[in-house]
Amino acid sequence: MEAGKPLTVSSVTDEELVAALQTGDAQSLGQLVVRWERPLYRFVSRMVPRPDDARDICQETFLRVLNRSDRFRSGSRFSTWMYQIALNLCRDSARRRRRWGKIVNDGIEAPTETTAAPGLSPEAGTERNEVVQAVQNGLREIPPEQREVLIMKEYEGLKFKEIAEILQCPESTVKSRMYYGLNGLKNALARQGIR
Amino acid sequence: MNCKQWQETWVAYLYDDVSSDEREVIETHLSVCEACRERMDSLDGTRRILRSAAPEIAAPPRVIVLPTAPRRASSAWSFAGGFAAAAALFVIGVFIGMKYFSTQQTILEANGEFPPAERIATGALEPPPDPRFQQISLDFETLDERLGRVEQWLPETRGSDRPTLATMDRLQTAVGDLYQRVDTRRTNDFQFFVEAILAADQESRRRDARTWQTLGVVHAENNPNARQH
Repeated sequence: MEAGKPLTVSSVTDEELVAALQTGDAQSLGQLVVRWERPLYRFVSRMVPRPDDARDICQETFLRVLNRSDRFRSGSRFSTWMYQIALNLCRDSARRRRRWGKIVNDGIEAPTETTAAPGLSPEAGTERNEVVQAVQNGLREIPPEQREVLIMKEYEGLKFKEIAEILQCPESTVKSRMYYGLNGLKNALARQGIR
Repeated sequence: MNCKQWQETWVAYLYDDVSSDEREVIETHLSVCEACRERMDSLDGTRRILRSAAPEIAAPPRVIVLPTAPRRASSAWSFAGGFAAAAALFVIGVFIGMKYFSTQQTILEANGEFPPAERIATGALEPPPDPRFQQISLDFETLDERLGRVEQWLPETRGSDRPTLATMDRLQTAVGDLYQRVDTRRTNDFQFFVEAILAADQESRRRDARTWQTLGVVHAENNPNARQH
C-alpha cells in the first residue's frame, strides 16, 4: 500500500486498514467503524443487559483499537482481535456490576432492549416474547463462560475455531462449554416450563 | 472415547463440524444406541429453542469520530478559502469536544445532528487538565482494589481455612462500613461531576461565541464585497 494513497471502503481488507492505522493514518479507523459498529453493537448487546453499557463498551472498543493498534499482530484477523477487546470489556462490566450492584439499587439487570419480530400475529408475538424472555433468563443462570460460547455460536454465527481464537482456549474446550451450556440451558428452560 | 470426548463429538456433529468418516461412525452409533439418540435430540431441541429466541437488537446510535483538518495539496491552498475551511473544521471539532466533556474520548455518539457522510478519525481532544478529576478517578480505583481484597477474605470466598466467628464478624462489619463510605462518596462525586459538567458547558458556550465572532471578522476581512447582515 502506497503511503498517503487514499483508501476506498470496498477494496481494502480490515487488516490493511489496521496496518494503515499503525502507520498513523487515522482515517482508517473511520472505515473500520462504518463496517463494524453494527455487528459489534449486536454482539455486545447480547453480552450485557443494558443498552447504555453496550454503547459505552462499543465506543471503548474502537477507542482501544485506535490507541493500541500497535498490538495487533500481523497475520491475525481484525474481527477476532476486536471481539477479544469487546469481550474483555463486557467481562469487566459484569464484574463491576456484581460488585457495585450491592450499593447501586439499579443492580437488577434490565431485559435486553428488543424490537418486535416482524410478520407475527399478536398472539404469536406474545408467545415468542415469552420464549425470548425465558431463554434470556436461562442464559443468565448458566456460567458466563458457557453463555459466551452459546451466544457467539448461535447468535453471532462464529465457527468453533474463531471462538477458540477469541477466547484463547482450545477448540475442545469451546465444544465442551457448548455441551454443558446447552444442557444447563435446557434445565433452566424446563424450570420455566419451556420444553 | 471417554465421556468428555463424546460430549465434544455430539456438539461437533450437531453443528456439522465433523468429517464424512466421523459422521458415518457417529450415525452408525446413533442408529443402535437409544440413550445417545435421546441425548442428541435433547441437545438439538435446546439449540432450536435458543436459535428461535434470538432477540432482535435495535439499530445502535450512529458512532462518529471527530473530524480532522483534511490534507490539502499546496496548489489548492488559498488564504481565504483554506483558512476559512480549516477554521470551520476547528470550530466543529472544538464544539464537539467541549460539548461532550470526557477524557481522551475520540469517538462520540451522534444524536442525529450530524450527517453520516464523512467519517474521518483524529486524535484525542483532551479537556483542560483538572487534578480534581484525576484524583477522583484514582480514589475509585483504590477503593475498588481494596474492596476486592476485602471480598477475598470473606468466609464464603475462602476454602477450608475458615476464620473464627469473631473474625468473620469484624470482616463483615468492615465491608459494610466500606460500602457505606463508598456510597456517600459516590453521591458526593456525582454531584461534583454534574456541577463540573454544567460549568464546562457554560465555558464552552462562551468560547464558541468568541470563536464565531472571530470567524465573522475574518470572513468580512476576506470578503469585502459580501453583504453584511
